[in-house]
Amino acid sequence: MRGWRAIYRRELSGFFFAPLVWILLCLALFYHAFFFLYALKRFGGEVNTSLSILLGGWPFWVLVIVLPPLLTMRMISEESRSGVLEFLLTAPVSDTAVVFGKAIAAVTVMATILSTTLLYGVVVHALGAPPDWGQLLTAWFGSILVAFLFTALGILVSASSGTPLIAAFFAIVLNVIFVAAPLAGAPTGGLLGDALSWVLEKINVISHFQGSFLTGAIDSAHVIFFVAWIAALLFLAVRVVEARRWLG
Amino acid sequence: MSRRTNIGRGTRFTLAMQVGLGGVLAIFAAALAIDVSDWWFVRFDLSLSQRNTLDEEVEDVIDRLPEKVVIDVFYRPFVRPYDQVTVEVQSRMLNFLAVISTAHRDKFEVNTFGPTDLEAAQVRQGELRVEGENVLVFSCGERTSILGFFSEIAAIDWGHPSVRLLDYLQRQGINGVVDFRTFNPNAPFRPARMTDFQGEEAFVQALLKVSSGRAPKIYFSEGHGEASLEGTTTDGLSGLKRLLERDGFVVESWDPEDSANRVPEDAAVVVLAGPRQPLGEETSAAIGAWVEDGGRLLVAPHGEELEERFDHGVVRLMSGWGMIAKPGVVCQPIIDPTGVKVTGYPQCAIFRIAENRMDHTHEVAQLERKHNRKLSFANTPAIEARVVEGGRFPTRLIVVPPDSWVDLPDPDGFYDWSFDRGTEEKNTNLALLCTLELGASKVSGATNVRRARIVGAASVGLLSNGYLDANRHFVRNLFNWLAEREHRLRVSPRDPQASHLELQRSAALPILTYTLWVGFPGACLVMGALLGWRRRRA
Repeated sequence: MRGWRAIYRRELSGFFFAPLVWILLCLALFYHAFFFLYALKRFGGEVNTSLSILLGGWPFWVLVIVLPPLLTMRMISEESRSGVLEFLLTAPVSDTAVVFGKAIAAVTVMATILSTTLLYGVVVHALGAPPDWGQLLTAWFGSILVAFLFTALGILVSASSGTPLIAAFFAIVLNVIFVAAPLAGAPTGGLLGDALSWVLEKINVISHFQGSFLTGAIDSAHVIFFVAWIAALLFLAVRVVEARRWLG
Repeated sequence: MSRRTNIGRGTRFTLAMQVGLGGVLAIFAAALAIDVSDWWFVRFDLSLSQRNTLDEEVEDVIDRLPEKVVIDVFYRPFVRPYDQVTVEVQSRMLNFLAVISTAHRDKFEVNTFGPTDLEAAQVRQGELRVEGENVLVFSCGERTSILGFFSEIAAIDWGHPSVRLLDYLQRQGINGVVDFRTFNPNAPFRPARMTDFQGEEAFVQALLKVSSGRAPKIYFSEGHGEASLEGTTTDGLSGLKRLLERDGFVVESWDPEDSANRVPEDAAVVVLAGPRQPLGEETSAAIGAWVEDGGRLLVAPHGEELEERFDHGVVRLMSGWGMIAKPGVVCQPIIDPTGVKVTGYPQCAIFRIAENRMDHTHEVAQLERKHNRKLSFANTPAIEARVVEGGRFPTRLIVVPPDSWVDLPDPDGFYDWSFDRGTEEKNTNLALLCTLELGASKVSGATNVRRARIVGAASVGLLSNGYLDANRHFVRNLFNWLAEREHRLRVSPRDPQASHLELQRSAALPILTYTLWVGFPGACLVMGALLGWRRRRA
């Protein structure tokens, strides 16, 4: 893992010293503002419920399904096309460090975008309606884990694809499957139904996020759910990058 | 490009297989880790409102569950204008179930059937042999218990509906919304609202019902003018009967004359609820002997008996255990609109008892103190606790209010609701409710040893429909204590912690709107523009 910090710094400066991420952040702020103000009016000024819409309602899921693929789509596929990846892979850093550093950089951008909710918490606190900070911070932490999971998936797809746009498209489709398939449910009964239920239970991101983080609880099982998937996807991404090295 | 051509098809295949195998192994390792993490887990509630932490009493009931409980939730929101209130009840209960089932994964299985799962809901309802929407079905082995969202879980004031909406509510099984004798179809519409959420309480009751082996029986004596178990008036006990049954008790009547004055063998608790006639020598003796043998008794005299003092009434029975019921009613000065304490009004006999007037060493009182609940009393006499034979001294569970007196009736039976220094008594050591535990006794003919428990209430009004709502938790806890089911002592529901931002009358909304729509995005745009300008210059 030696050298991941260098990769991280390089990726992060690539994000934050370019206007694109600021425009993305601005759009995310408009998006959050719209839903937060709508929720506040809808729930009679109830701050905790309104904030949890931003970190658990469908606006949140739309954001984490769409943004990570857009951030990760160029990370490996574009660099591979332009030949930058070849330089990277011949540099004295391991493949794991390359993948991990890029993933952490994308997660940092996502965390910055999601932390607008904390900013809203500060504003409503200043206006005399303190939110449940324990719940808010736990939900924020959980939302970063969700974003990390989708970022890992995005990196894997980016590593497997030659074109950034195709990578983004497939990553979004996979994210939608991750989120929507458990909601749709498996057919009841039969061996196939049982097997599908088992699979859907293992990828049920929503229930693992809403079952604890969103309500202000940290549950080791739910943390392990995200850590296990993130580790598995990043491991796969490393294997794919490694295969690229050999395939040229 | 040259390296690509050097790689043969076989090598490519091997590489692909390696990646594929690695992927499969990684996915299975993740699935295994997820499974294992579900067996051993720790959970920390970081919310300030402690919304993920269950009350100790609820935890205690869950810990004693003999096997896994399956909870099937069938819910469907009502149409407008009842959508908001029904969704509020449903989401609060579903949230509560989510907390329970996540914290105790090995004890519960929660299956939810929403509006989109009609087919699956029908199949499951067929298996459970239940019907209807908006119900929760608790199953534990062969036993089931059903809770209604809008009956047991929440109390809803359905407002004033139009004729069309009234018809809709009736089709949803919501009856008794209006009194048809006074219903005015032309009156303006009033929206529905939730008046009380009893989800946690109903949940625990349903658990007790499905997990109890043999339900303890409570016998209410009859045949001496006692308050009626079926009575729906303010002095009836129909509410208490329903409450106890929901708590897993079997409630039955017992006429001593019909059973040759023998207390039923399966009686867990016997209640003498305000008899207006003497019990009779044999009945009194049989009850007394049963209690001394380890029986559990709740006794509450009727006001008429206090005036007439029967030879073999409940007042005499109570005095044998050191609970001397005194004639008259406990009164307390009331505060008039100018803030001055006044007497001379019938309202003086209606008062509330704060937790600091309860014995903090008693389990039942501890719960009242913990939840800062108050009890309501009206026209109640007092009890004086005295040491009796064998050094027994009853516990004064609830004592009279600090500045109260016992108002005595005049010769015509009327009260003046004022303190008369010459004839009336101001004694803050008097009690409204006493308990007594006798030493361990061996039940006749049985092998188990149990302690007799006696509760003496100064008035049967505490149990009656008129005051049951105000004292519901206390009364239920009292019966659970009598039946030695301390682990089932109830708690009241917690309201979710809300933090409201005043949108209408303050400047909050304009400030928020400008900050959120203009301030933050504007700052990002400025940053983006600055970076773009710097890059162009560079």
